[in-house]
Amino acid sequence: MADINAITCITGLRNTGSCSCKQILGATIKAFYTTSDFEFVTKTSAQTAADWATAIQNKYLYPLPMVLDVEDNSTEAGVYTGSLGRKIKASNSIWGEKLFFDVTAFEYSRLFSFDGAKGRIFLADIKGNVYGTSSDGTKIKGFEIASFDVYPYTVATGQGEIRRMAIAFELANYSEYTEDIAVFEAQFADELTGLVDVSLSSASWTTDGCVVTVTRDCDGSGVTGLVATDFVLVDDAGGSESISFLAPVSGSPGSYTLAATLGVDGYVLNLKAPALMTTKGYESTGTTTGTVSE
Amino acid sequence: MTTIKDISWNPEWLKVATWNEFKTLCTKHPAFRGIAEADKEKELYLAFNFLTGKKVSSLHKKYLFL
Repeated sequence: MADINAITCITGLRNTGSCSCKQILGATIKAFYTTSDFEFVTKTSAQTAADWATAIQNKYLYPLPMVLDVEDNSTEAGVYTGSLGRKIKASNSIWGEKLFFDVTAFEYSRLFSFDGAKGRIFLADIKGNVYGTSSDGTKIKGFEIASFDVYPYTVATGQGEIRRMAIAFELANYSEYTEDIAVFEAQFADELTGLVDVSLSSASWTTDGCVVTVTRDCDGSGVTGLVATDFVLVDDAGGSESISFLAPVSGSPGSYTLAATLGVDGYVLNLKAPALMTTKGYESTGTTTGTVSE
Repeated sequence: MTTIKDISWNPEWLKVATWNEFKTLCTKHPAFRGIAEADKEKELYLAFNFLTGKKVSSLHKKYLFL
């Protein structure tokens, strides 16, 4: 039996011979916040753009804006220097980055909802690599975050300077970004964008339907290209109504003639949940209601 | 101007749509307004038959000679 004071010696050293393939790793250009429980079930899935899009639509994954500047927010390993000059690593280094963004005030205020968040983070670099972690060599997660701090706009002091906002993070789990790191190619990652909030309004309710207008909250522009199956229509008792077709109103981008056979009643119209919409990339901020009267 | 081609049809509704319901709904909507009244029934029926695969025997004989 091992002595009670026995320690575990380092075992299982892995071979370090390398192939001639090149993998150039670069600076972070985009980060993706994920919920704590989100993971790609395989490397193939993590390299599939559609799986990222599905995760965004299901609100597991939030692409942050493109990075303008990166600062090192890491903490160096703690080193104890003995009185005789010998150095021993006393604590591990911590991987941290401070990412700067040039964002509109609209995005700026929304990014503060992530201040202090406790999820995970994927990083995409300028060479098309994405960084995450895999403890079992199959499933890939983002790195666990120890801190995630959102900073207000920096001060621009003159011409030629711009205001930037920043998010600084530190990774929580040393093994996740050392022995369990998972770096894979995903050239599409920098093109992924988050869901766009849209608002609905409606008018001209008759027994044949109504006119619905969908606009982006960020700039008020109309959302074109929506189809009948993007919408859900119920009466005020919650009974489902079938939308027969949707026809864009000429000269009025974002407005549609919505056709349905309606009775005299009150109605509630909305877009479906993002993942259930045929047209991807949007989320409704609320319903629009109308009444069909005699 | 909105045309019939611009319309996004709901496939679930098309499965259950009857000719009368289709005609009633479609004649009143902008995409069909540009069609001359004399051609409206024919255009509507062609659209109905194309979209649903359903037939109305009298109209089918009249417009598709079957």
